[in-house]
Amino acid sequence: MTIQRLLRTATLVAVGMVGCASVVSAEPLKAEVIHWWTSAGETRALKQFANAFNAAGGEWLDNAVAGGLAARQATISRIVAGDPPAAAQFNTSRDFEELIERGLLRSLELEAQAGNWRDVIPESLVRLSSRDGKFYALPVNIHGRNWVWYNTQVLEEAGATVPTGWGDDMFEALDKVKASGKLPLVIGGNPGYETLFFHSVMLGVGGVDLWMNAYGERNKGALTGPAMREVFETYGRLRAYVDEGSPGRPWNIAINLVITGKAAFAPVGDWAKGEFAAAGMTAGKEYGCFMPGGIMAIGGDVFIFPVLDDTEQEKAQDLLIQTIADKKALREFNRYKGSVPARVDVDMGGTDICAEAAMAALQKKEMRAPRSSMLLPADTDGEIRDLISEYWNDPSMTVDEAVERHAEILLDG
Amino acid sequence: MLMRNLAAKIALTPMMIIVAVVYVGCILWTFRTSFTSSRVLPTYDFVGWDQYAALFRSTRWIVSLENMFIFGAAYILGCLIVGYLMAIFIDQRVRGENTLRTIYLYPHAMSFIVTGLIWQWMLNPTLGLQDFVRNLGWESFSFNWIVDRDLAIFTVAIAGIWHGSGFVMALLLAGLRGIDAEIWKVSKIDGIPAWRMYIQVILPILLPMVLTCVFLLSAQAVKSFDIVVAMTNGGPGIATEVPAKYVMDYLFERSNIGRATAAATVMLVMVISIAAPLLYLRSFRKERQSGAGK
Repeated sequence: MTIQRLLRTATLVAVGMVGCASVVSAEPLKAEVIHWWTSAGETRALKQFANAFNAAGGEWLDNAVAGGLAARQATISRIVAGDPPAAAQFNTSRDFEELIERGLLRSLELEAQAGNWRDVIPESLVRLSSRDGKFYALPVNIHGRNWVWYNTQVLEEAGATVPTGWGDDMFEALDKVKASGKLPLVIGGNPGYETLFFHSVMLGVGGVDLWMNAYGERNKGALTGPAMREVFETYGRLRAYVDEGSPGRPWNIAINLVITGKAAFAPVGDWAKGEFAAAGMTAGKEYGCFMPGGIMAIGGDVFIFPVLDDTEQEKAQDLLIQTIADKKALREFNRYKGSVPARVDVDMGGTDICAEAAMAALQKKEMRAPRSSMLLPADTDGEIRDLISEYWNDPSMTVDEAVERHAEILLDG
Repeated sequence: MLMRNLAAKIALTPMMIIVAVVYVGCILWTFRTSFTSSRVLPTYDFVGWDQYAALFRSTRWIVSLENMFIFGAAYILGCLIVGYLMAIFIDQRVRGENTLRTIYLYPHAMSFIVTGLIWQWMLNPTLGLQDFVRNLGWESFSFNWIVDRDLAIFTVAIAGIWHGSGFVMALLLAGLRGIDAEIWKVSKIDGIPAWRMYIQVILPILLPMVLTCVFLLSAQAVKSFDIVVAMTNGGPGIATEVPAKYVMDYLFERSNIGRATAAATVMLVMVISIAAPLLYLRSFRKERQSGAGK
């Protein structure tokens, strides 16, 4: 028992070291926020929250940590060491689940009821953000992960029509582009993007039903059934359309090949929009977008608010929650972020056609699917990434083997 | 006896404490944690060998282990051969020796991240060497190891050899310079060709230095992480995954501390089981040598 306590104290001290670098001040209404929005566009988006908070009488202490992994580690270390920030960014994943279980996060139930969150936030995000009927995280934005981007001119020159998903129309278009000498399909050549692409195929071929049965319910019938086989078969068939330089290619280089007219299609999330915009291209003109089957795989970011033991700091935290949950602040934030607000009652009209399509899909419950990391623990999700990447890069792996191992990961994990 | 070197002992005490707490303490903590179900935060329950069983069920871990041995063998052998050849070359009293030595040793001053990135660009079939040669007119030229699942691990080894052989050269050159000139004179009289001298006479004399090189290089091979991350990030697929990357991924990205510490423990056990016989052999040789000297 004493050894255990000693060990625990030692751990606390060890992880605490990391957090010592920045010190939270005890002065009134100062609130420190840890996040990893460091690019130009992201910083501009976050400024909308910071300005609103400062205008409401607070003082926003910005603690940007480059890289999601490092930022989450900093947050967890700070909380465990007893020196938590007022708020911290997390992805819509199950990474903060344990923090809730250990009672380290503040319940947002009062604010949720006052702001009617349950009615306006998509159900999958509600489920992710709450535990035992209480909200513990505030979703702020939604990114669509399963977009397919295309270069209009490349398709026209090849005489191909725009497909709607990963069906026969897609293969027809890919063949025509291939015949015209351009690259038919470019992807990010690493496990993360190969899996994002796989999930795009899975939603396009199998729909929300297969998705939820496989990743939500982990139903054995769905995981080994004909629909799942078809997903792996389609995905495997698509190998023939990527070029030799694909492994290791970063996603932005892949998008750049589409921008410069060297490639036709690229499956990447809606963060690709920034690249098209920077190249001076307009959605619906020089480039186009579609979500296979009209279904949107959603992911995004949430803020969590650790339990604080100082009443002054708590007051600042109250104000911070009000500010971030405000509809106007959410709209401004998402306008610059390129995402859509995590509530369906914010008007995003007048933006580009891709954002409008996203907002339309978001309104319909049967058209939105939570990203896999919202449904699965981080290690199970990671094992799926390993398998999909292995399958994609190894044409000798049979569909049967892939389906079986995929099911095994989900049924054992 | 106690008072002898008291000042030195006092000066060393903080270091000893740090070694005990940080090194030994962390190893013990890692070992203990590998038997728990810890995920994001460490817990102190006991789940027996569960984490180890899951570890060895994972294809990625098995591939990682295989890769560590393939990479380690190719890397160490390659560094030794290239390094020894470079040392022999410089030992021929060539002109501009200092410049050449600096050039050979320079890659070692670079981090593995930089090394990995440079080689990734050079070996990328659509950007690097292959594309360059094809543009020169040799259309059928093919060098796409880095995207080939079976050969990708060797490209990592090539980058490692480029990085490490200068270091081996520096050590072996020092050894070559220490060799008695009489030995060479004798070989000239006996008419033994130089290459046979280098392999059959000089190499055995340099053996302690070669062993030192093997030791230092195998430490690099076991902890190789950054070069893989920069060059292939474990791909294509899982073809170039290594154990250290597995530990890092599970420790942070996949928030499974239990599994990560189990993998780290297996790595430690492997290092000890390889290092212990070698160390024993070395001390055994020393003992025999000093025994023969009496």
